[in-house]
Amino acid sequence: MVDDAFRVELSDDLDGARLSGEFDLLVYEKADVALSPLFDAPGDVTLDVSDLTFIDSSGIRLFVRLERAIRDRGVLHLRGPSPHIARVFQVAGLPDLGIVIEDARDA
Amino acid sequence: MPDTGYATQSYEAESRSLLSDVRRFVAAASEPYLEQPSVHDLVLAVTEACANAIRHSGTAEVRVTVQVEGRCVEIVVEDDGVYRMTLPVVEGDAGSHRGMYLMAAMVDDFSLHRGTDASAGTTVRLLKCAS
Repeated sequence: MVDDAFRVELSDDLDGARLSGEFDLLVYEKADVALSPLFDAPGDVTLDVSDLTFIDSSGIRLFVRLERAIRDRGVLHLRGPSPHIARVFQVAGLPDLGIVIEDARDA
Repeated sequence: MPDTGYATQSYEAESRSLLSDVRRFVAAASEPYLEQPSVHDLVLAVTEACANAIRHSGTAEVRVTVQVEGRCVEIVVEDDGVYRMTLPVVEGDAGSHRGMYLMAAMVDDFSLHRGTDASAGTTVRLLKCAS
């Protein structure tokens, strides 16, 4: 059975995190708490979303909040989304906010 | 799912696995009829509809029906609450209705029937057709 439980693993430098599993409304609070150290990051923040298998508008909402929090100090990068999730990011207008969507190989 | 193309599942609104359970159901029921990325689009749209129901309507139960009509899959999401539709009046993001917009963007057609206090119940219909 595929394990789609949502997980967050913060980077040691607190400048990013790796997200995996399914991000929906019912894990929003857990994600908010887990990612809270990144809201005070001094510069760019990179979220590796390559193992994220689903995201809904609540996930988009958290990324928008994070981008707003760090906007004066850095840029939010979302790295390695699957084609489905990359399209959700586009439809939701994340690039228009200055959030950078990048391929995993751009790292 | 039977070949007649009709199945309904009921979910407790309090369930912590409601949204993922609905996704499994809708993906399995629509995969014989739709290809990717249409299955994913429909799964996202139904997740948004169910999230709206449990956030905004006060329902105890959410019912999801999958119907196949020709080359289209229709999902009906029903609750027993009253959907409180409000427009955002403050700076912020929680009331942006991004979920409603994403839901609409992912399907070919949709409709929302909103009940009243006297006659509760919300029905959202989502249609996705094979291209």
